[in-house]
Amino acid sequence: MEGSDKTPSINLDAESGEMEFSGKSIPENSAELYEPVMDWIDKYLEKPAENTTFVVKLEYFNTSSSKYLLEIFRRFEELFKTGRKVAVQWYYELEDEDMQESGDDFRDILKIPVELIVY
Amino acid sequence: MSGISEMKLNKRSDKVVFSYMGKPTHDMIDLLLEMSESKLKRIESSSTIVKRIVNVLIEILQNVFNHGEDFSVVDHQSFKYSLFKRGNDYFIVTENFIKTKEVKNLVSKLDEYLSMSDEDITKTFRKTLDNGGFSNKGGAGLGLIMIIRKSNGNLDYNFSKVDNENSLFRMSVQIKVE
Repeated sequence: MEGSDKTPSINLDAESGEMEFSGKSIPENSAELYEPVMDWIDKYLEKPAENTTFVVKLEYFNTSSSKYLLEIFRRFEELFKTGRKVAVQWYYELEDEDMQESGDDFRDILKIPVELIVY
Repeated sequence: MSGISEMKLNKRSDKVVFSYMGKPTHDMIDLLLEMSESKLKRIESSSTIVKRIVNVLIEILQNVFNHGEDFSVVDHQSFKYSLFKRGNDYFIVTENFIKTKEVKNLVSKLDEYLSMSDEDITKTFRKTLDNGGFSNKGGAGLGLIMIIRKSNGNLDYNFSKVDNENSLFRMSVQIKVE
């Protein structure tokens, strides 16, 4: 899915198990954007790949998007509990303390590995 | 923390980055964000600070749109927003109308979050993100906590009752630059 000024580019590949959100996620109506993604993920989880990697390279995101991100990660946490390999790669720019802090928030809350990567 | 009167724009010594008066529509809020970011990038060399201000602005302006009441029937200048620089610090000041019956709840939340230490506000943010659910207006209930967290509690507010149904909510958020 192509991104816009307010919504992220979303790439979901069921075969490789690689997923990526990049750009901005600041829609007023996050449900409209994320509900179809959640549906896709629920289907993916019925027959997941060996390794699942979720890459987040967001420049900005609002708090209602963060709620959906957590919901998505929670789904992968269930997969992780079954013994599958699951990783979240949280990218942030060197000077972006807020995005680093957000990565720390998710790492604190979640039981799946959240890797913080500077780019 | 200074009182809200001290956080008002001083036209002589403060540098206005952006100001707007009018209706808070979807399109206008998008435009305000875009223009504020673009003007900030021209005067602020720290990308950390620019991103922090924009992050806070996103929450403030979307909160106004989601929770503010449209008072345009009575007053076409139903929403005021200004971003200005004083010394090294930035101030975001907004004025919008809300329902008087919602004031008590908002005051109680603001005072609770403002009394917290940085560590406690981080814990509260994480707890609310983890358990908070979605409010009936579609937000995650996290916006206020986020604004207070990113401004290190440098937020002042006041209300004035317009009539039995409506109140004017004025908020000033200071982003300190070390």
